[in-house]
Amino acid sequence: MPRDVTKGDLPALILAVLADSACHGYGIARRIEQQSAQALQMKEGSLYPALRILEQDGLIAGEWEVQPSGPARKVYRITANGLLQLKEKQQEWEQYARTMSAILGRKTDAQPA
Amino acid sequence: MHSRLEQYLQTVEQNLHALPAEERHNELNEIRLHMEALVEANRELGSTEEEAVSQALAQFGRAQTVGKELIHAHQWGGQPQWRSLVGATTFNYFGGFVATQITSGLCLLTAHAPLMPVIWIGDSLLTTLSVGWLTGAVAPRHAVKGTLYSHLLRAVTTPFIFALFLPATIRSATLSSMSYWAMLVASTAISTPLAMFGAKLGAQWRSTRVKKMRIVG
Repeated sequence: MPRDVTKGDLPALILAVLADSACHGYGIARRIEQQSAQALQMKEGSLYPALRILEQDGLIAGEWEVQPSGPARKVYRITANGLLQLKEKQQEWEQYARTMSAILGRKTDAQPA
Repeated sequence: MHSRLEQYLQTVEQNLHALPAEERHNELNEIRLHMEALVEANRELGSTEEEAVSQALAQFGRAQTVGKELIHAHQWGGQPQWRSLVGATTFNYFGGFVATQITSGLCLLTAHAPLMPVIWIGDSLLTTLSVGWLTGAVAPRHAVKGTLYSHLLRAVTTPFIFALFLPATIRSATLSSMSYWAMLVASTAISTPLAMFGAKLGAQWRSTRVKKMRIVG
């Protein structure tokens, strides 16, 4: 079942997508969709405020580039600080997933009262 | 371009007036290209033109929300970066203090001028605006927020500074007078938005200048 991407998770997803390769806004949205096998959905307009904040924080860098076909597009790349931040986010997420799994992933033998 | 997409972009633009023209143009251009790509993709999946536009608009979310979140991201950023916020606050606080000392001296020179109160008030407003502008030019990242904090800090600390440095006779008369507190509240209420406006202008100037330098470079 598709789930909405929360505002808090969007920056980490953008960083993860850009860690693979540079991309423009539309491409980032499509890659999130594809890599999550359509399980994650978002209002695509929310991408741009998130991209601005990541740019201001120096985690990504955007530059207008002329495309071989079609008009110039703003292409984003992850920076060295962005990669560090992504690593931190991945560790945080793994820790969180382990904790949740330790509780929710247990097989229950309990009988209903 | 489809009229509904144009209308959408106009609504986004209405929220971006505080941005320099070039930056605003770039934002809208980026959104426009994204939406056109969405419409194209929807059409390729078999939708009619109208359906493709409706789907793209739904996929993008409310124009008002997008515009508001974008301007918020530009002006306030994401997580607070403490160094630049503290820098902007400190610069505005002490910059304001130094400027006040200089202009107080100038005001004393005009103490006997016929339009003295007008000169003093004009001078104070100009100083507030200028220091705000300088804060924006020096520390654009958190200039507006830093200026707000600085003015609130000044409103809180001014009575303590008076208590420390004024002679005892004047101090008690000043701090017990209702008009002093009314003046403090009124001047904070007037100067804070004015300084924040100055900071916004300074930050805009800085951002335009940085872009010009990049283009020239």
